[in-house]
Amino acid sequence: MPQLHRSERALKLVGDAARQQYICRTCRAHQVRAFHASYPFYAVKSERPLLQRLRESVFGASETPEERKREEARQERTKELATKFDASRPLERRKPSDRNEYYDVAAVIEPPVKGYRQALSWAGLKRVGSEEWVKAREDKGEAYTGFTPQKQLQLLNENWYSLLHNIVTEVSVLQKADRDVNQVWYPRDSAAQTFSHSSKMEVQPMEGGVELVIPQDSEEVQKILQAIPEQPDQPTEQTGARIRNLSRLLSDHPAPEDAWLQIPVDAKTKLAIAKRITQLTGRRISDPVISNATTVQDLFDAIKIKEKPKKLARTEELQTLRIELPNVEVHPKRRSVIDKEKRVGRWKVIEAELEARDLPVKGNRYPQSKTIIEPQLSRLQRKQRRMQKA
Amino acid sequence: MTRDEIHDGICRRGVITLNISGEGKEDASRVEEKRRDDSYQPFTGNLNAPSHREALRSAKLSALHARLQLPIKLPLQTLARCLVDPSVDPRPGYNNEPLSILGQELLGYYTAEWLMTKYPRLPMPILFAAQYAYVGSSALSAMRAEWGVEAVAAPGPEVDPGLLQLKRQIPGNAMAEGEQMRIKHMPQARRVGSGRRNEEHNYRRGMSSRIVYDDQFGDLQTTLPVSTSDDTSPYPSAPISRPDETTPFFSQDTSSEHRPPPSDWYLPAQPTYEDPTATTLEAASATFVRALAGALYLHAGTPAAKHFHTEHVLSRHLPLHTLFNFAHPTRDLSRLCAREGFEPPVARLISETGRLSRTPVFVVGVFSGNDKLGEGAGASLNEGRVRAAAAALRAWYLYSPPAEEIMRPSEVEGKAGEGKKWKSQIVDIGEVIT
Repeated sequence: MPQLHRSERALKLVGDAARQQYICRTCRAHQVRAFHASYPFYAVKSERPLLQRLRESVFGASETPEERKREEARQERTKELATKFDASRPLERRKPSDRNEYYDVAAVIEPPVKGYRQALSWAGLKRVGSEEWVKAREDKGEAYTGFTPQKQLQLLNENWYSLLHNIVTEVSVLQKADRDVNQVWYPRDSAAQTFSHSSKMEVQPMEGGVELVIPQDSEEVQKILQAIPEQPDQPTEQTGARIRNLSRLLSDHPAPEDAWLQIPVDAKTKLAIAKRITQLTGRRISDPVISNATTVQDLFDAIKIKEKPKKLARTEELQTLRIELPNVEVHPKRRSVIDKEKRVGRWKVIEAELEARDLPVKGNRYPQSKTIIEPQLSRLQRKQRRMQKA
Repeated sequence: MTRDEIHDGICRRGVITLNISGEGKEDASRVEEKRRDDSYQPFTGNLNAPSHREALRSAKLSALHARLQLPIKLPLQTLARCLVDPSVDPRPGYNNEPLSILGQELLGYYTAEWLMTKYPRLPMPILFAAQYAYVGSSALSAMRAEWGVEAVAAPGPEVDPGLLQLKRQIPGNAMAEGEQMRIKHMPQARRVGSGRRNEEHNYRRGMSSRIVYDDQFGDLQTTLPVSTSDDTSPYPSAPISRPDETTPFFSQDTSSEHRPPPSDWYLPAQPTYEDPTATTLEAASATFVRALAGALYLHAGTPAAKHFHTEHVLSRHLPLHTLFNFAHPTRDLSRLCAREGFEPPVARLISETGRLSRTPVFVVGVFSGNDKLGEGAGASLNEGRVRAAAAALRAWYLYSPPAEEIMRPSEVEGKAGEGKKWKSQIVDIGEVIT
């Protein structure tokens, strides 16, 4: 686009003056939008698009009946609105400029708010970047509380397990009660916890997996349903209190055996579960994991802490092998030529001889490896060196 | 107590102390204890060999232990010590020198008794040569190479303990730095002696002097310093008796019992650890194998040491008949027949072919009366006769008694009560000297 190129040229000039070599893509796009300027040529020519001009040149400049009808309707509507709003103002369809060019005059629109008067000039209007605007937006120390906790909660695997069980139970209870599963992440009172109730839920086998046993008339289910709000307009609980309580509650209410992990999840359910996990702990589950998850087990595998893979040499098997077969050596790193030379004691000799001859010991990663020969330095670099020496 | 701590104790015990008399036993233990308590000085110089603690972690060492089928009684730490040459670690408590002295004597003893009982009529020069061929330094060096024991390029604490640790000597043929001479021709080249008296006169070395003065192979003991007096020690830093000094063993004064024993009297004099002498790979290899034999003897006893000797030394095939070199075989044979009371040897033509051709062959036998002593083939009648006489002499000298009659002294050593009875062995009067 020629507009973009011209703006970029302008920006480059600005950037050179400020000694700023690099402008990020976002800033560049922002500047392009701010400094957008189109050629007058295109502004004029946009009256008659290329296709129309071609058609006119070939078939003559006659309007089609549909176009004429549409134009007439538009003019009628504009006239009607103008009469309604300000009848004293004469209506101008097109205004000839100095260069004999025509511009559209904006249609006067009926204001949606009562008492609103459309401005016809920008004097007295609020402006982005004005003093009032800056004052309105200035930081007054308001605390921002987002949906997710600011600090990601670090839990043990058993706590993750209990938390997931609690959320899955809530979601299942909501499903059984024909309520929206998304209600599980509606902000709720911090006192309304369901851990003590959910930990008592059991599982039963069913076709294609397992299911939580949820008797509708039980006390636990009713308490869970009461704790989950039906509207999202309740105030958000305090983040700090929520985190502090959560770790303790999860430890106090361990989840039952892992048969419930095989409960199948559909798209809506797993999104609700993932959102609730993010809301409580700040832990996000990646989209591919959510889209590929078919059971709760898949979600648990995604959130649980994975054991760091051990180096082969440090594995238990090889440690026992070392005792059973002392003639076998396993090294955590690949043996280099230097290691082999060190093994027979030759490396120190090689190193000493290389140093004695002022030769590099290991490839080019030695302190003076990047030394530039004097004639190759630029004039400025030579000057800098002289100043350093002085 | 861990394995390392136990081995620490073994290492600190130092050289194998030899008790000169029974009286010294108590004193020796007292001094040993004292030395362990307060006077033990740790080595403060630069450690040039890997720590013995590394021995357990070395795969090479474990592999060598398994490859040689060494008994479990021989720990890896001792095997690692056997690989440390004195040129790398001069401390006798940590290098293989004390073990190698013991091992050298053991290997020499077992080889000599085997040769003497199996071939009782071997002449002395052949006995020396065979001894060297079995347990000489070049044979032991070849043995080290066959075992797959590699040597370090340069000694240091970072090297694998499973390698032979030695400081290599600069070859004598190498040019001296900044000079136009070879190392061996430099004036400061170390002069070696043989430990003989009047060495400077270059007296002729006869067989008797080889037996008396030289080492077990009849060779000059080139590692010894040049002797200047009669007090030459049999090996470096060996204890030398000085009767004129007041010592607990030789003093007539009874009050000397209360004096503290001089610790350096039966412990070898502490050598300066500054500059250990460099050595050759062959010498270091031989020291290693001998030290291993000595260590086996100490840890696993005589049967293990003898088994080691049988498996690794006697299993080597030595064609003894090629060692003979007769100057006058016919004369020797007639002397031998005269000495043994046989009829004088007579050479007779057994068969011949192509007498008038370019390549005649005469098969000649040497007979004593009706007994054929030997047979030889030659291109002339005389050559056939000489070859036949040499064959007869070889047959005489290489006589071996029946296998069930052979018994080595070490077989009944310390087994008097176990039912094994010593059988007397043939002792020959010696070779024919003409």
